[in-house]
Amino acid sequence: MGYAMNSDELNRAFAALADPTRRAILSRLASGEATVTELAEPFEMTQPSISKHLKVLELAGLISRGRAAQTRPCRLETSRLKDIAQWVNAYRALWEQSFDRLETFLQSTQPLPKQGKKNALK
Amino acid sequence: MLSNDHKAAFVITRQFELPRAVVWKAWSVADQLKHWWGPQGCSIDIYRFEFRAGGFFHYAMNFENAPTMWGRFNYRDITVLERLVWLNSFSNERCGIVRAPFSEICPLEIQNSVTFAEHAGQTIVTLRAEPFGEVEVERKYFEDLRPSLEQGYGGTFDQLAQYLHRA
Repeated sequence: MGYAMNSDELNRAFAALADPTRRAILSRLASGEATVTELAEPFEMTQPSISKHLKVLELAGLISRGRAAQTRPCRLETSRLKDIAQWVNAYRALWEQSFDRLETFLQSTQPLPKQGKKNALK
Repeated sequence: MLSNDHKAAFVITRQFELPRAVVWKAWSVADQLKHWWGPQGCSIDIYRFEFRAGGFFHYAMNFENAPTMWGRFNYRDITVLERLVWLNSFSNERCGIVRAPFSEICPLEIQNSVTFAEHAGQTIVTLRAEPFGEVEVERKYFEDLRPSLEQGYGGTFDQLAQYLHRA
């Protein structure tokens, strides 16, 4: 899990995600590639300032840019976001397992008729 | 009431067919907690158990086919029979905090908040987990990304949304 990333890259990704404009750009890119011009429009920002945000996202590995001529369309790189999401999945699974075990444990401590004669732990 | 739902990475609810006092005991007594906390197949050795705000539960997780890992709870808030809040993290043998041995992307500390409610002899346990990193951006990431996920940008965010959105 997350083995491909070192701490610097992690910090860079989190720093990049801390800005609302950059998150909005990522959300826009989630529905498909876009050029700088297309990205600048809805945000009412100049192209140079959008370009700065794109540079940060690119360095953080969250987007990549095509080589096609001047437009260089931007594309979302989802693998990094998935890395971040993985711990949530893992931690959630840990709790689901623990709750299963808790249920079994509690039953074993109760002198339920159907459970047989196990005495409660004290 | 806790008002942190929007921040939580996830929420799990379980209903137990037992009175609250019985369920609470499983969380507040070391000899019981060690029997169920942790991943499937691990056995817990208790190093420290201080069930009070500021106290530590420090433990080793032993596995049959994997190296031992250590972890700790740092209790922050305990309301008997009702509520339990603590920071969970991996640790070393001396209860010092460490990053997850298997992932650098895991937040250093995760805050767990659990509430216990009894209805007609049954107990409903609700657990909320949220990142509690030293790095403010880790926290901000989860707070700010959730609303945009909820608006449904779809597409490639779907998988992430599943993890973060399910509650």
